[in-house]
Amino acid sequence: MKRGLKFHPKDVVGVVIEDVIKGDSVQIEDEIVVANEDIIVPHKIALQDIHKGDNIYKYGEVIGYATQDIKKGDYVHVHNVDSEKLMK
Amino acid sequence: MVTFKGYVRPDGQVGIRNHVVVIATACCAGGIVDHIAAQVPETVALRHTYGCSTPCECESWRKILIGVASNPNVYATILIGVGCETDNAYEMAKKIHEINGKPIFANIVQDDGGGQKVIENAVIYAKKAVEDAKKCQREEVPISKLVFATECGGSDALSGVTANPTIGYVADWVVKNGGTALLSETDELIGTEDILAARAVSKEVADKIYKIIYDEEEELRVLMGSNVSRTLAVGNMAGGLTTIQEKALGCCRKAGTSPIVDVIDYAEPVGDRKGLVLMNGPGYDPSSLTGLFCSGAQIAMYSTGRGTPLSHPGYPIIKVSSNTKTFEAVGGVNGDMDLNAGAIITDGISLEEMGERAIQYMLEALNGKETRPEKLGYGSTLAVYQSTRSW
Repeated sequence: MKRGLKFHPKDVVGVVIEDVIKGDSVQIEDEIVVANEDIIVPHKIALQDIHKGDNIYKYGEVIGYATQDIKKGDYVHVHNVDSEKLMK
Repeated sequence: MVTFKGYVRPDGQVGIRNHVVVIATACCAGGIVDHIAAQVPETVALRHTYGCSTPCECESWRKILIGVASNPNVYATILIGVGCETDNAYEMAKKIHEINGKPIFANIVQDDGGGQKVIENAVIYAKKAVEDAKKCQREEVPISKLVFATECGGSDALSGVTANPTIGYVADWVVKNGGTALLSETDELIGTEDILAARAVSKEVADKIYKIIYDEEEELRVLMGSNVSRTLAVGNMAGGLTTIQEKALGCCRKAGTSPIVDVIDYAEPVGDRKGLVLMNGPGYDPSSLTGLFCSGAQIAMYSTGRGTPLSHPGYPIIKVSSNTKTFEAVGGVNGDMDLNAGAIITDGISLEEMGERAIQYMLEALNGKETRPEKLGYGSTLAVYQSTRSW
């Protein structure tokens, strides 16, 4: 079992603290998420399904929005999250 | 009362180091500065590329020169002028002495017999200043005399989880004991403006916080276009940071949880302000560190996820790694880092325990113990933030 961290109850992403290989189970608090992709420390994993356009919460705050549908267990990074439209 | 032992300066500020610094008023005299420092190795050469042909930056450069010479870690300043630059070195030295009352020497290459003669004159002064500095005694002073700078560089997605909260713990401790803590790097606060403004002591300060962050955001939009959300270094993204907001939410944690008492300009003296102060500085850490130094900070605590070796020539930097892998990768114990906040994750140490360790480490550094970058001699260039090009 690999380990990950979640920082706030509102968060839809967690951070892996051990390198994860596709198919690994990751324990994040009381929940177990199966990784759909390889994810290296300290990158993000989706804790739930996220629809395109939905806000991405980390630390209980919005860090961006999904630019495509994201499945629980997916790797979350620049390829599927942006924040440009939130900015001036 | 918690105290530290430092050098009380004529203007009442307290240094934790006792430098004789050598600085050119303009870049063209940089080689001469190097020769002086080579002949008197106890001096500190502040190498830079500024001081002329930037008409819009004159005031800003004066602020840097005054700020460097007035930082309490500086016992005496040797100012080397070129002659044809914007500001006359003798007049600048006079102005600086009126402000801080400390020893200062100036020579001008074009007026004082050329580079070789200036080196000769400055070396005589430098040798005497170094001897005089040795006569200074440390005195016990309260933590209220401390200006503590916070900085981060080469952040990763654990910086905001381990190292920055550790630094924030120290910042809160400094403020609780009557001192001053400084937060900088305005572009790395984008997305945290509501959080920070809610902590302002007044509406006026909250408005200042919104203004500097929004101004920065607008400027970045012009420079970065649709990539504005990736105002990040490549290494930040490799370290798991996806957007500037995600980075900022981690960055702001190094300021702790105290109310924000004021916003100051880049390199503006912090003066009598106590508590947490926000300096409007760049996210580019070498330049931010210089601004914080010129504002009066005697020491900085600096988090890194990637393991940058950056330090500063003017003040001790305490390097805190955000993860154990990086701590080990840059030399482990007795390597480039002072503290490993990654132990919060790998060894299950609580944030409070890590924070207390960091406070003890800082107290030793305040009293004279060299930090890792000092011991290894990593203090290098005096990088300065400029917002216009030179011509």
